[in-house]
Amino acid sequence: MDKNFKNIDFKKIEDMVEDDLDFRNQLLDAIQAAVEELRSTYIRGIEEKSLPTIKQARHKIKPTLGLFDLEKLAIIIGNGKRLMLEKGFDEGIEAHKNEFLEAANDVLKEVKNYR
Amino acid sequence: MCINLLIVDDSDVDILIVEDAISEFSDTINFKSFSHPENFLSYIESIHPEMFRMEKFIIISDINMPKINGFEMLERIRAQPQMALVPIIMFSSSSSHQDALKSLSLGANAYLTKPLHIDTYQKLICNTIEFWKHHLQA
Repeated sequence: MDKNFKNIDFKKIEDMVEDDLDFRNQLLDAIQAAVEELRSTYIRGIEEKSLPTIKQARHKIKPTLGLFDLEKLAIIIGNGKRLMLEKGFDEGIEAHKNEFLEAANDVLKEVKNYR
Repeated sequence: MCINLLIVDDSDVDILIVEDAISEFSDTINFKSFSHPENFLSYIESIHPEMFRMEKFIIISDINMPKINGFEMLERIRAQPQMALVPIIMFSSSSSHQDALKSLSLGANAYLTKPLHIDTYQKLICNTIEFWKHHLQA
């Protein structure tokens, strides 16, 4: 990926929680759980070559991606959608899977380090 | 009069955003959230039918949830006579025409797509609740 896209925008979280530490932790927990769920469902979808599973995972994470600017993950998922629709689960899917895993893990690492 | 706002959404992120949005109504809204539709249905069944006549309820529900999805839940709620007039707003990240039509056909009072900006998301929730609050209190 050429440009440096954001993994997550913590400013949006700070604007929302307004110095409420408990609320901030709850929100970070919820974002972490959402990305972990995405990671497991999306990878299962690739391994089972199941477009409905991938679609469900994509659908479920959509608000979180937009609300907190998980830009890199959103772009990779968008590229994956095009790849799967055009080429199925063969050509290029392994590289996409690795790129997706790296992006999901980067978000989780940033959330963990931010606490 | 206090309104009981019941939210059903398996995403904790969405529940927290709604909870934060409605904090300004804290003195007029009793808020209860459910991550699992089956828990919500059990809760509804545990309430005495008379309560739905004495108190006011608003239900906001996601659609895409595991085990029991929002459509099935909606169907089961509307099948209960005491729930016939409770406002139900379906709130989904899907902008699909079919999802909206199906929700409304099954008895939802409104279908809203989840915005992707926090301010818009929270404003939409507040305006929706404000509208139904006035409607129920009229």
